[in-house]
Amino acid sequence: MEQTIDIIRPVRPVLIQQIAESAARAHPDAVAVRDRHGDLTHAAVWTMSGRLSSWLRGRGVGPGDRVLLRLRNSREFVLLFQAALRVGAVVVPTSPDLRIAQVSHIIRDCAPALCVVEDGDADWSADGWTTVDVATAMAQSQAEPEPDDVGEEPASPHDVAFLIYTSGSTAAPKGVVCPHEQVVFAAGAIAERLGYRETDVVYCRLPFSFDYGLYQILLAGLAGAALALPESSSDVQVLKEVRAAGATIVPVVPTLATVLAVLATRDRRPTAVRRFTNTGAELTAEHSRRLRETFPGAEIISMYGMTECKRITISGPDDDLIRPGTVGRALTGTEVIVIDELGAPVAAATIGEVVVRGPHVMAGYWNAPEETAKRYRRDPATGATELHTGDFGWLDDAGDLHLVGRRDDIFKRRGVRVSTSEIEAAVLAVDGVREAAVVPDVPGLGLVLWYSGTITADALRAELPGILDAARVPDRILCRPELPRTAHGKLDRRGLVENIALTGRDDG
Amino acid sequence: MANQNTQWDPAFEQLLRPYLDESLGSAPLSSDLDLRAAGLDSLGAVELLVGVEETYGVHFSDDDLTFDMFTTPATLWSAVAAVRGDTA
Repeated sequence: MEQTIDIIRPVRPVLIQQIAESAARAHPDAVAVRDRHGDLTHAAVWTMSGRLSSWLRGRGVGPGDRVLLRLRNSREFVLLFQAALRVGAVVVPTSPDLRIAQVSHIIRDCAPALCVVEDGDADWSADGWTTVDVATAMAQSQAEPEPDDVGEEPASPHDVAFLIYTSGSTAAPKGVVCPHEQVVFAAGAIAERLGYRETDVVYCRLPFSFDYGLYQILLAGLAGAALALPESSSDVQVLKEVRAAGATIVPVVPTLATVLAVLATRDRRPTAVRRFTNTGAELTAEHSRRLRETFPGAEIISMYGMTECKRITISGPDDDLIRPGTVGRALTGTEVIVIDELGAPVAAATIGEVVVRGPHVMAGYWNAPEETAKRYRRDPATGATELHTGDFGWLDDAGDLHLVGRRDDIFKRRGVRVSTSEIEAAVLAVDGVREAAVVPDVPGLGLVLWYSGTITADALRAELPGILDAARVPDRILCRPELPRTAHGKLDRRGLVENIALTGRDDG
Repeated sequence: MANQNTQWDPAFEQLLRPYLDESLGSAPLSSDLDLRAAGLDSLGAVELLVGVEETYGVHFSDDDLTFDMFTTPATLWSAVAAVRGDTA
């Protein structure tokens, strides 16, 4: 009887939640989620998220509605994520580290039907938007029946599954629209390269509010592997958690890699880690050397991607040892080209802008047609949509991509994608600030904010943690009577930096 | 009311300062200073852990590593004292 029903179902997932559904059927008793409360099987995840989907329906959440999840990486997030997909809703994951002003912007932009937040999220102010704390959601859903399959919302692969808010050149982040079809394709193409196994335990410390963290749910599901979630928000315990969970795969960004290497240097007991993946910023030769020294036998996979298409390139294990600086090759079924200012592809070893084509290119930004048109462009020759990344790099003669940097105001800080424009916009909103200019990576100083206005630097410094998360708070704040301008009247950021370089201090 | 700075030695403050905002100046650190708000990030906390272990010749076992030990100078100092076997 079961077998007959299985033949009717698609073998390859068409909708994202079918990944978890297939895992529940193929590996029902294998661990899906491991955390401080214990282990949850794939079958239990499917059953429990089914009850939560009934609960969501009961709260009036329907197809196309946005469900905002402001939660830490937790089993509850995983269950609510699946449940929302099952009612055809659009998931909007946001980090609990974002300040109220930052989340309020996202809420006004996506107008969620429901927000689910951490218990006692003390600084939360719902402001008219329906909000439930996660303990209430879980408790109320216990009473719900499991929906039978007839109750599942029929959905098209073109339906939007989630929005990932990410920084750009505008004053506030925009939501990348991620339909089921693109997400399922991307997850499958990434899985093909990463080789997660059913026996793997993936320790996911990267926030579910970033696609890098969020897709670990899908990659673990595709392999029937287990996802181990952090117990503590303190990085000091990361290695302890990796070891306790029996983690075999650890996705990292360079800051996390450094934390792990430092912790593993003082505690040399072996772990089960067999593989690291890295993306977001370059893992330097020194980072990689330290990681290999402290985790002998573990391989490193170098990757590059962008929320706007999820992932662009993935290297083979330890390719950085034979091709230093590589971020790998285009995902199977996708194309990466490097173009010049006129849009023509350049020869190998020539620097240009990285442009991406393929079924993973997402559907633009939520309610932002101008921003979408700037980045998602139509190739006049083929009519295909191509993503203009704004990253610059070159392809070597083996077809591997190497990156050299960006030329706009987007940069990475502590693994987070941020923009100078959004930091400046937030600073300008503070009373007493007249002008603001932010420059990242100023030698010896880091992320520097120059401003003019009536507020003192100390008072401004005290204001910023209330409106910006740690990744966006500048390292140095320098006050000037007024900020220098170029001949065109724009803020002369280069002049500000050069002045420090020449004089060793900031002065008029 | 009395500042508990005298509970720790100068080496302790010297270890902490490089990880905190320069704007704190050279005034003695208050025992309940919110270290995270004062600039201590996750990599800083981990490096500070190693620095504290090397300076005081102690080792924190996995059980000794608590998530709140880096909250303030006072919590960090009592974690060190506990591992050193100092009486309260």
